[in-house]
Amino acid sequence: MKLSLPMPADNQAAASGEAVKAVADARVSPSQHEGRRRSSRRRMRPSSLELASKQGRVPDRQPQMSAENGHNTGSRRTQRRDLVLAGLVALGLMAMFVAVQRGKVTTYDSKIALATARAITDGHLHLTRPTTTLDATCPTPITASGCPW
Amino acid sequence: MPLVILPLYLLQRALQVSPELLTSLASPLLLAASAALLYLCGRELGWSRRVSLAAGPVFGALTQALQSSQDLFSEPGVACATALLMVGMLRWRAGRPSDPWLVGSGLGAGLLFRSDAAVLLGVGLLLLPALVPWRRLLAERRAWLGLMLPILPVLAWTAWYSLRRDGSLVPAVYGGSFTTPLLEGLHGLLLSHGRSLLVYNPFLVLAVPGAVALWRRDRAATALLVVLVVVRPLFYARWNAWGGGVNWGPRFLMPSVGPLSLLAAYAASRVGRLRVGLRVPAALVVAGLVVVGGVVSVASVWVWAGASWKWRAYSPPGLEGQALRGFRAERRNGYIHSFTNNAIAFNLRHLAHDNPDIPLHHFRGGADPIGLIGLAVALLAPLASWVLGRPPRAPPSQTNHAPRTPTGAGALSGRSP
Repeated sequence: MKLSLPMPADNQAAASGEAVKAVADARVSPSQHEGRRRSSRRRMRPSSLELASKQGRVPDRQPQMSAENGHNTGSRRTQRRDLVLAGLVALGLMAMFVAVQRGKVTTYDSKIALATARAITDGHLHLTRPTTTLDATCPTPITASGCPW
Repeated sequence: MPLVILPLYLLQRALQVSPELLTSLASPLLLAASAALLYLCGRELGWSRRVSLAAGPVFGALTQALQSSQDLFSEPGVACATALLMVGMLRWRAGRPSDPWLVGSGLGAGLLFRSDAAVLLGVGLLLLPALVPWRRLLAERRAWLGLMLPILPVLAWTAWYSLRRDGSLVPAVYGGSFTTPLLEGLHGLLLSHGRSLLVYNPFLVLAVPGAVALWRRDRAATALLVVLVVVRPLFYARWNAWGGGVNWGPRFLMPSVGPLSLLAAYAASRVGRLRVGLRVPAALVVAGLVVVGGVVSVASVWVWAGASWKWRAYSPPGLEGQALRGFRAERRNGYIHSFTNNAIAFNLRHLAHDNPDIPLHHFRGGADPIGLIGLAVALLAPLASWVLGRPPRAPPSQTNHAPRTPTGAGALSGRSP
């Protein structure tokens, strides 16, 4: 036994739309009809990008590029907010580092760096020797600003 | 490093504050800047604000960077230069005109702190074609200018300084050589129980799954981060003092902590996307690593890092010859190769007792206002950034009808990491 239920208004509209499409389909050639079906299937199939997005394989925030110059066109407000947040990150860590500050320099290499800065202010670059027990074993006055070791 | 210390030293002299109180802020300034740059790196990688924010505290509080803030080594400067290089390269990929300058500045700053940066940061440039297409690289001549110009004054300064000091344009290398067998050094830096990277930075274990997860989404960026990490142990494994002497953890690997923090934060952010059965155990692992990392960090600053080195180098009076050599070898082996006698265990044993000189200046003999304010700001700033970093609400029309593409409203809102 077949039950017939009243069709909702939206479905009625959809059904009438389909009827119009069917009439239109009847006017085109079979090859055109097949082509349309293929393109319709193509539209229904999710793109590889959409699939990748669903699987979480692509970045959530791609850089937005303008076609003309290839430059990022992200809003200034977003960039300002990012700079504020970067500043807050730096502020929080700086505060923590200050809280755990030793306030004195004890290691050999640290003393050398400090001695060099002191020497530069005194105008003789590298002549201030650090006072550590390792001085005797150190082969050269290693107080460069850009030296490796 | 002296060039960073210089203004602080002048300020300290002008204000006549206690010796070395301001100059010892050089490393904190560089490390704080590194954390800010790591946040920007996260944003350039397309992560949400909150995931990007997590990289900063991971770097500053759960790694050896915290202890590095107490010294004036050049590694914090190199860490900052590394972060600058990463931000510059990622932004260059996005096509912003000023960002080759950031890459050049990163390289230049790295060279100023340590000349090994020519190799250890320069290797990152080899990946530039993976991030920016050749066609664009060849077309953007001003970009190359931006890349090179910041390096030239650094080379000029270093050469001039070296000429004034040693009579040679090339900076001299003092006392040391690449004589350690490669495998011995690699074992010490990466696997030893007393001196290796992950023992002193346990949270960074998560960088491994983080790198795998990021590789699936962004291979070029992952390769950049991983290369900047991997090249360091390969370079320093052969150095005769591969551990870095009197310091906390593997000193020369400290700059690689930045990229690893990014990857670890990313891995932690993916826990919510795991299957239901894995989610709880993974969250527990992350929480456990936070606790362990926190304990190691507290131990690193509460007891002076050099105290364990003194214990290691101690020679009992009256002991000579073979007996003395045996005693020293035993302590050295324990310090480098065991969990029970490494610097972390030493500091943990001395946290509560036998620690006559608490090294924290602002808490010695009771907390002073600067210490308390510092702690308060250290807690409040991350909270404020967490609130400010909340995902923006998408307009209802976009929420309902926006397509699920990576550049759709959902993706831009930062709801997913």
